[in-house]
Amino acid sequence: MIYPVSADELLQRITSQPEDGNIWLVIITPTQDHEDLVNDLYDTLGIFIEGSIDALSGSRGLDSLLEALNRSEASYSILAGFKSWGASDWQKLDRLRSRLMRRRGACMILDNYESNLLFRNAPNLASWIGPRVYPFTYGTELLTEEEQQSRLQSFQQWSGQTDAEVIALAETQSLPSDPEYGEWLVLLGRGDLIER
Amino acid sequence: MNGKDIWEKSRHAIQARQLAAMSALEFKSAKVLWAEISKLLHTASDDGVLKTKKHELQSLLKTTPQPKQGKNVRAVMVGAEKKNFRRSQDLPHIARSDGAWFDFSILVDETKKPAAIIGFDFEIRFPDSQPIPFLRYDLNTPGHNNQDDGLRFHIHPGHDDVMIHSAPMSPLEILQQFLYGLPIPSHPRKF
Amino acid sequence: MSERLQRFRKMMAAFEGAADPAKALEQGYYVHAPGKLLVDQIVNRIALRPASSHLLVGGIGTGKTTQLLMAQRQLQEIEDIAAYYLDVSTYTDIRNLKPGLLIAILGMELCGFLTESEKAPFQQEIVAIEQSAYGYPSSRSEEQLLRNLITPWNEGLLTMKPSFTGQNILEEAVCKIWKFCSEDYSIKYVFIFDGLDRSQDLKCFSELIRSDLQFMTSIGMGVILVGPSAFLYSMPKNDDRDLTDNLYYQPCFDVERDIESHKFFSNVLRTRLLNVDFIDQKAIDKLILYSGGVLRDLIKLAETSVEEVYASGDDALEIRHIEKAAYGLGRNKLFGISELELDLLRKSIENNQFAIGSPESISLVTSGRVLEYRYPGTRYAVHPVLRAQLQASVKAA
Repeated sequence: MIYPVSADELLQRITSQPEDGNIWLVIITPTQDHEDLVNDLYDTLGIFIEGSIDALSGSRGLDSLLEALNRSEASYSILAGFKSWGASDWQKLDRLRSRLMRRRGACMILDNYESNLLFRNAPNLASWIGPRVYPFTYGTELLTEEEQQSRLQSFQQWSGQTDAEVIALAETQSLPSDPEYGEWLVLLGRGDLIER
Repeated sequence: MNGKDIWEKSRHAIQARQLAAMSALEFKSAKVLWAEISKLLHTASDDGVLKTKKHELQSLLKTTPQPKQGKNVRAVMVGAEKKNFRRSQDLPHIARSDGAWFDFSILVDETKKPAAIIGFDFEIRFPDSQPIPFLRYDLNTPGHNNQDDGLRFHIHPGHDDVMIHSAPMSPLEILQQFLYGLPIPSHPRKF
Repeated sequence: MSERLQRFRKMMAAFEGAADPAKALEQGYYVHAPGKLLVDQIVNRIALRPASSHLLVGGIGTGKTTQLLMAQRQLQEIEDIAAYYLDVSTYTDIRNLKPGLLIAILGMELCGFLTESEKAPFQQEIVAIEQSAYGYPSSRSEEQLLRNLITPWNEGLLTMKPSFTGQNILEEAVCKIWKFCSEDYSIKYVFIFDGLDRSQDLKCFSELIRSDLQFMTSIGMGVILVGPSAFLYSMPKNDDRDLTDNLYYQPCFDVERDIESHKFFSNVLRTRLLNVDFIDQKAIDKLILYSGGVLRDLIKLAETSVEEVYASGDDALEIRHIEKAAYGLGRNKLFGISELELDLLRKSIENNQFAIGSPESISLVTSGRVLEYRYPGTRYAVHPVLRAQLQASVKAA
């Protein structure tokens, strides 16, 4: 059985962790989602933990990352950008794991390849992370295409109008300003037609 | 000026006061609004206010994806597949422990910086034992003033045809009211 | 913050001390298991003979650091013994293990014991020690020096590319200051060096302890050292075991076959879980089973299970929460395994046999994927969470 986590569940987990817990976790998601995930977590995590967040990259190498971590006064760190890291980098991080003790907590965003490198070459860090290894599905809080279509149908049934009719009314600024019509346009990807 | 014209003038003055007072209509993004709402809902769940379980909240609170053509308006809502026009408890909603239940939909204009809320509808429904079946807050989208009729932000107190001006409240404040501020009295008043 | 969230954070904080063993001890979560832990043996031997060397090896997460800290506490209670705990990895990257490293660290610490007036007659020695450690006279703060990992012009023992060759000078300097500290105060010093278990270069480790341990015990100092568990499996017959006076191995606790070990683990949990309604004995037993007898895994599983309870909106810890946490730990252990290692694991599960000797088998044991038990009998077992993952994937196939 696979237990992927959603954004909501991840935020709940981090929220439940003690404020000075120094808890580290690993989120595994495809590389193409890393940037968006970092941005999302950066925007939202602070709301849940009521503390400051920073996003740090490993792209400049381990020493640079360690320095940034030590300099940072944020409550929680989001770490990504480990593409260039090889076995020796993870081995070094493992040897220097004691220096990671000062952080409130951090999440490392990795893809499958990077995860394999970490868990192969950093056994002490792996032991410390323990069960907190979460396959992550990006975008579970977003409406799927099917859900949008289904929701649109309910609008059509409610008003008796078609999508095309609603768009036509909007284009001539004749659409009622009830929020339902605004949402209808948004579901059609035509939020630009909402009068401002 | 006759009485009706005076009332129309007053409606717009009230609306202008409402909108001037509502500074809390700006958020960094739809995602941030989603997070603020999620936090409120989870806190309410922790407080025992909700019958809806924590793990159910994640499938209930949704946003529309980023439009393909770039930044636009997005919606943050409860209940994905169907808009609950018929007030059916069979459709996804958030339930309070005391039997009241609600859903909402909020429109966020991300073409602005910061993003602005340009419309919403929040509706809470009460058990049959209560004197009114529902309470609904609407913020109409910005349109022609004469379309709005000076009632862009209004409440429907239990009937779709009855509208009154609403106090200036942000979506988070309305949600807080739905969660904590509208208790079902154990001994309803009798006349 | 809701009362529920506060309650759960408090519960998790009781477990999170495991990430920092010093914290766990301070918070009173240490559970002593007479006869099960090596700390008693080590402390008793040092009490009898302070100027002795002790090497402790053991698997990851078996509680070595906790035992070292406990040893320090117990030694401090002996009137004429002063014990100091040092994590070598906070001084330098231990990839660069070189004879003299521990002596340099010892020297820096001893310099720190001296008052300003006491330092006056030892200026030459202090400079020699600092130059040995950092390659240049230090006028910067220690904090800056510790972060100074990428200054290739430094050639001291604690820097990136040590090319230090002045061991005699270093030893002389340390010896002089040590004599002053130990003779004048009539205190027997014991230094506890942690962090070397993360070293992967066994040859360098061997050379280091051969050189540095010998020096330290020769000047009358007690030393406790933690080493890599692979050292035990790679030692030639005649024998690096003689490098120290005492060699200890901390195995995993056989919680399946030893009732006292099971009891110990149960106490470790109950000390932290003060609310008796939150978890029943079945759930405790499940946690212990899934831990495989590895202390850190027990703590991490319990902590993550508590987190599962919170995230799902439940009020009590149940088996399904533990299963989810165990799945996560199993995932952790499955990552990074080679095909050969996977094959070994599968065969071990099938045949209930495991032979240690090949590099893959040693790798599986030292990485905690296969657990070694020594009591009541020596045996090896695939970590229960890994076993569960592998068996589930066979079923699915």
